[in-house]
Amino acid sequence: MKPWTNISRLKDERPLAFSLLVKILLFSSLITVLSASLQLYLDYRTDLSQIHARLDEIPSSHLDALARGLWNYNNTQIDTLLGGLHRLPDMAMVTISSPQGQVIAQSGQRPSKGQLLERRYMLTHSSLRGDQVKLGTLLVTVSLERVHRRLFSRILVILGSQGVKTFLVSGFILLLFHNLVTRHLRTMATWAARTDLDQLNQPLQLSRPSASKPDELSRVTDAVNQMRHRIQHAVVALQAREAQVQEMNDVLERRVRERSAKLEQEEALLRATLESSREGVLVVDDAGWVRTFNTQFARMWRIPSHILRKRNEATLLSFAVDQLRDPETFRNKVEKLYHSGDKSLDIIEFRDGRIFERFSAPLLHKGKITGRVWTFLDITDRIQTEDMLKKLGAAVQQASDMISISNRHGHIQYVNPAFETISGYSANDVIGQAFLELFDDIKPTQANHHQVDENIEETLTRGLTWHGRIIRRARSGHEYETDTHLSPVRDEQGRICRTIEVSRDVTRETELENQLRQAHKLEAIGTLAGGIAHDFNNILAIIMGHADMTIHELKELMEQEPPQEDILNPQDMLKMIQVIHETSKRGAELVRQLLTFSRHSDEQSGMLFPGPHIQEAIHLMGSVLPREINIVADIDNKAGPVFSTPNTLHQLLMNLVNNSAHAMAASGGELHVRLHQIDLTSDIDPPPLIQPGAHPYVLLEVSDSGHGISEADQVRLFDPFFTTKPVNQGTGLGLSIVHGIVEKLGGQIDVKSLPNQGSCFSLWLPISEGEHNPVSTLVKHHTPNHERIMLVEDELHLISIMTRTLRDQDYIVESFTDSMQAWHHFQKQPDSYDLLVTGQSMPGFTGLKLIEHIRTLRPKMPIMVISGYGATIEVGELSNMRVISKPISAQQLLAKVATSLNDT
Amino acid sequence: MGCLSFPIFHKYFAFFFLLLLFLPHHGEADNPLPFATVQFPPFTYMQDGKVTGVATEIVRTVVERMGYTPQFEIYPTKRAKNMAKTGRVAGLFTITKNAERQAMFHFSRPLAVIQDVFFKNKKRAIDWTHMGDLKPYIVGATDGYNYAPVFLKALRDRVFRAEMIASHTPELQHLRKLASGRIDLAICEINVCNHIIRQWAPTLDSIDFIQRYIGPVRTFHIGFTRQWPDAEQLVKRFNQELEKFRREGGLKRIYKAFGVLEFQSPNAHLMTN
Repeated sequence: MKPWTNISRLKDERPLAFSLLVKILLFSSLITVLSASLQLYLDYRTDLSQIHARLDEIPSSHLDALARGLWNYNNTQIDTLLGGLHRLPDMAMVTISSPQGQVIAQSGQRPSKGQLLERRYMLTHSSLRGDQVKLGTLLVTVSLERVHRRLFSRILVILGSQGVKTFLVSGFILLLFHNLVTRHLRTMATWAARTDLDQLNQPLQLSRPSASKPDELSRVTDAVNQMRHRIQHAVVALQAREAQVQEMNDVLERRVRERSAKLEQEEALLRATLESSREGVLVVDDAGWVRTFNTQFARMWRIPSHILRKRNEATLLSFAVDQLRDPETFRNKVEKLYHSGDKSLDIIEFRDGRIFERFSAPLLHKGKITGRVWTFLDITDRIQTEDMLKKLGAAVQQASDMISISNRHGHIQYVNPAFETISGYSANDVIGQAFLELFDDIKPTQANHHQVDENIEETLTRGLTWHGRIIRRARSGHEYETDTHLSPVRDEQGRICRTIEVSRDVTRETELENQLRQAHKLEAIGTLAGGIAHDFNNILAIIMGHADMTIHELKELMEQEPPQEDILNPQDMLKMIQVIHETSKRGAELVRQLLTFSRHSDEQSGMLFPGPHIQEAIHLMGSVLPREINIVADIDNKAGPVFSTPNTLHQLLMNLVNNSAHAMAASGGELHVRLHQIDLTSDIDPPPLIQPGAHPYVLLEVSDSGHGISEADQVRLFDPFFTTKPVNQGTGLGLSIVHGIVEKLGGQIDVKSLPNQGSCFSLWLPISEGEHNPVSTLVKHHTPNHERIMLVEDELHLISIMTRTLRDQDYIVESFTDSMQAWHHFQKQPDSYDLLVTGQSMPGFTGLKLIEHIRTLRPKMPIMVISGYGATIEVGELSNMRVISKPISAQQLLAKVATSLNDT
Repeated sequence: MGCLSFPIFHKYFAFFFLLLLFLPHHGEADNPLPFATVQFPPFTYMQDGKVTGVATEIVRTVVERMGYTPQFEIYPTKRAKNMAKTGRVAGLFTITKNAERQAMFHFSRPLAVIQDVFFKNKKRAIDWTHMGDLKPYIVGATDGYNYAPVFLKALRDRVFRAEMIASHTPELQHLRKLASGRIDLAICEINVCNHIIRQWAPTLDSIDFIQRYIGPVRTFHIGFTRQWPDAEQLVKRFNQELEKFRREGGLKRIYKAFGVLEFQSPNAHLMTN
C-alpha cells in the first residue's frame, strides 16, 4: 500500500514530475523491450546456427563409423556412436532405420512437446566388390526446448537489468528535473496562489543561483513580474470602472424590482384568470416543456402531482393517452399540431365515457411560434344531453301519438308528424297559433260529459295535468276521439314555461270496444231469449185468447138478430180489450227492455238514479236464472245520481249476476244485490284508488256463495277473454266489459273472494254533481201551436194513426208514404216545416237519406226518427235529431214531438 | 539371548550340531581352488548366473575329483591373464600354448582342440586347397586373432580381399555378414561358430562350413599359474584325474552335451600346409 500511496501523492502534488516519470518509464521500457527483443533474436539465431553446425559435422564425424558398424553388424559400435550423438547438446533422439524403414538402433526418445528440428543422413558402405550399399538412414532429432529455456532466462535477466537501469535513470532524471524546473514551478504556483489583486507589490523571486545569462525560468519570472505591474495598473482602472458599473447596477436593479413587481401582479392576474376558467389550460413551449397550466387541466386529466412536477410534455402525453378511447389518433393529432401553426378544435373521447372539447392554437411571440396552447372543456353532459335530446326528438317525431308543444304564452311551437297525420293540419298550419284553439271544436265523449274546453283551460291555468277523452274534428271535417294528456312544463323557478299535449287516437279503439260490448250483449240476449220466451208467449197467449174471444163474440153478435141475452155486453168486451191492451203494453215493455239492452250506444248518458234500472235488470235476470238461485235485492232507489245510461247499468248488473250465477250453478243459493250511497266519511274502506274525502259514491255490490275465485285468477279477472268456464260456455268478456264501463264512469271495482266461500264484486260509481236529468224521462213540456210537421212512413195504418193523433193535438201534419215524394215536397217549401218525423227503413229512398238531403237545405231542422230496430242510428251522427223506437204509444209520440220541437 | 533360554531350542540346536558331525567328510571339499576364465562359448560362458561351458565343466569335474572346490570367475582376457600372472587365481583357461604363456603357466593336458575352418553360405559351392584359391572371395577375419601362420601370411600378402573386424563379438558379425552376403567366407573356430549358429537358429541356419582345417590343429589347455603353491604338483594331479575321466568316457559325454566335436588327434587329412 505504501508505494501506491507515495505514487498517488506524487501524482497529486507533482503532476508534472509524475507525468515526466511515467513517460520516461514508458519510453525506457519500450526501448528496453525493443533492444531485448533484438538481442534475444540474435541469440536465438546463434543457438540455431550452432545446432545446424553440429548437425553439419555429423557426416564427417559419425557417418563412416556408423556405416562400418552397420556393415559389420557391430551393434556395440553402433550403440556407442548413437550414444555419442545423443549426448551432443540439444539432441533429443538418434535413430537408425533400415532401408525398409525398420528401426535398427535408437538412442533417446522423441519429445512429446516443444519445437523440434530433424535431419536425415544416408548410411552407405563401399563394399570390396566396388558397389555402394545402402545400409539405412540416420535420423537426428534436435529439441529446441533448451534453446527456448535459455532464451527465457535471458529475457528475465535482460528485463530485470534493464528495469533496474530504467528505474535508476528515471529517478535521476526526475531528481534533476525537480531541482532545475519543478521546484521553481511550485514556487511560481505558490506565489500566484498567494497573490491577489490587493497584494501585487510582492515580486516573484526564485531561489536559485543567479545565472550568468538568463535562461527560460528567469525569462518566465521577468515576464510574470512585468505582467504584475500591468495588472496593478489595470486594477486601478478596473476599480474606477467598477464604481461606475455598481452605480448603473443599482439603477438597473431598482428598475428590475419595479418591473418584477408589475410582472408578478400581471402573472397573478393571469394565474387567477387561468384558475377561474372552467376550461383546462396547458401551455407547452416548442422544446416540449410545460410553461404553465391551470388546476382545472390537472383535475380534468386526473394527472398526479409527481407527473405535473416534471413539467415534461412527453410524460404528460404518455399519461394522458392511456385514458383515451383512441390514443393513437390523439397522439398523431398532437404531433401534427406541434409541427404546424394551425388552430384545431377536436372532440376527445375517454374510455370512462367523458368527452372533452379540445382547442389548440399556436403560442406566438413576436410573430414566431414558440409553443402551443391547449384548452380542454368537459362537454360530457352537453353531449349526453344532446344525445338524449336527439333520442327524445326521434321518439317524439316517430311517436304514433299526437304531440304538440306550446310556449309559456300558449303558442304552439311544435307538432309531431303523428299530429299532422291524425289531425290533417300541417305544422305550418298550427305553429304560432294559440294552443287552446286546438280544443275549441271538441266534444266530450259519453264518459266525459263536462265542458271539457273550459276544464282544460282551468286545469292548465292552475298548473295541473289534464287527462281525458275528447272528440275532435280533423281538418277534413271527420271527428275522431283522442285520449289526451295535457301537461304543464315548469322551468327551474317553477314557472310554467310550456305545455305538452300527448294525444292518442282512440277512435278505432272505441269502435272496437263498442263492437265488443255489443257482441257481448247479443250473447246475453241469446241467454235471455230462452227465459223471456216463456213470459212473452204467455203475453201473446193472453192477447191472442182475448182477441180471439172478442172476435168470436163480435162475430156472433153480428150474426145473431136480435142479439141473444147471454152475449157479452159492451162492458165485458171493453174489459177484454183493456186486458189485450194492458197485456200488449207488457209485451211492448218487455220488447223495449230487450231493445234497450241490445241497443248500440244510442242512448245519451245522463244523470240518473241507478236503483230503478238495477231493479229492472234484476227482474229481467229473474227469468233467466235457475230456480235454485234466489236473488236477494237490497236497493236504495235514492242513491245517486250517476252519469250513465240505463243500458250501461243493465249491462253491469247482468254481467255480474251472470258471473255469480255461474259460480253458484252447482250448489245454488242466494245471490245478493245491494245498492247504496256511500259517504266516504263512513267506516267502509274504499278501494285503494278512491281518495278519502272525495265525492260520495254509489256502491253496487253483487255477492254470491259460489266456489269463489283463486288468487291467481283474481289477478287476471278483468283481462279480456279470460274465463274459467268450459269451452263454448263463456266468452271471457263479461268482467272485462264491467271493468271498462266502471273505468269509463270514473269508478273503481273491488273484488273480495275466498275459495268455496263465494265472491263479492263492489262497484264504486261516482255520484255526479250535475242536476238529475234522467234520460228516460227527459220530456219537456211543449204546448202545440200549429207547428207544421212532415210525417213520412211507408206503413199505411201506422201513418194514419200517427197523423190522427198529432192532428188531434192541433199540429199541422203533412203525411207521405213515399219518402221521395216527401223530399220533393220539402224542396218546394223547406222553411215551412218545423219538424220532420220519418221512419228509418223505407224502400228505395230511406229515412236516413231523406234526412241527409233535408239537412243540406235545413242543417238545424229538428228531426225525429221512428226506428223499428232499436239503435241503428248514432245519436251524434246527425245533430238535433231524436230517435223513438217502435212500438210507440200515442203518449210517447206526443212527448217526443214536444221534446224535438223544444230543441229548436 | 532370549531364544536360548527355551529348552526346546536347545534340543533342536543339539540335533543340528550332531547332524553336521555325522555328515560324510569330503576331504578338501571346502578347499577352494579359484580359476580365472574368459567368455568364449561354447568352452566357457555364463548361463543362468552360472559359469559353464565344455572346458568349464571338464575342469569342474576334474578338480572336484581332485578334492577341491573349483571357483570360476569370468574376466576380460587381459584381466584374467593378470590375475593368473599375479597368482590370485590357481589357473586360467582356456588358453593355447606359446612361449610366453609357458613361462607363466604349467599347462595341463589338452581339454579341447581348436580347429579354424571357413564358414560359407550353404548355397554357395566354395572349396579351396590353397590360399590362392580364395582370391575371388571376400574373407572375413578378426583383428588380433592368432590364426594359423598360413592364413596370416595370406592376409599380409593380400592373397584375397579380407574384411577385418575388431570387436568382442567378431564371430557373430562374420556369420551375419555371411548370411547377408556381405562377405563370401569367414574364418572361425568350428565349435565356436557352430555354437553361435545354434544359438541364433534359425537366423543363421543358411550357413555351414567347408570341411578343411586352416593350418595345424591347436589345443586348449588350462594353465596353472606358477605362482600358485604346489602348482606343478597340482597340474600333475589334474592331468591324472583328467586322464581317468577321459578313460571313463566323461569327456565324450561332456562334448556331446555341448555339441562340441569330440577331441581328436590332429589328423593329417584336415590339415593344410
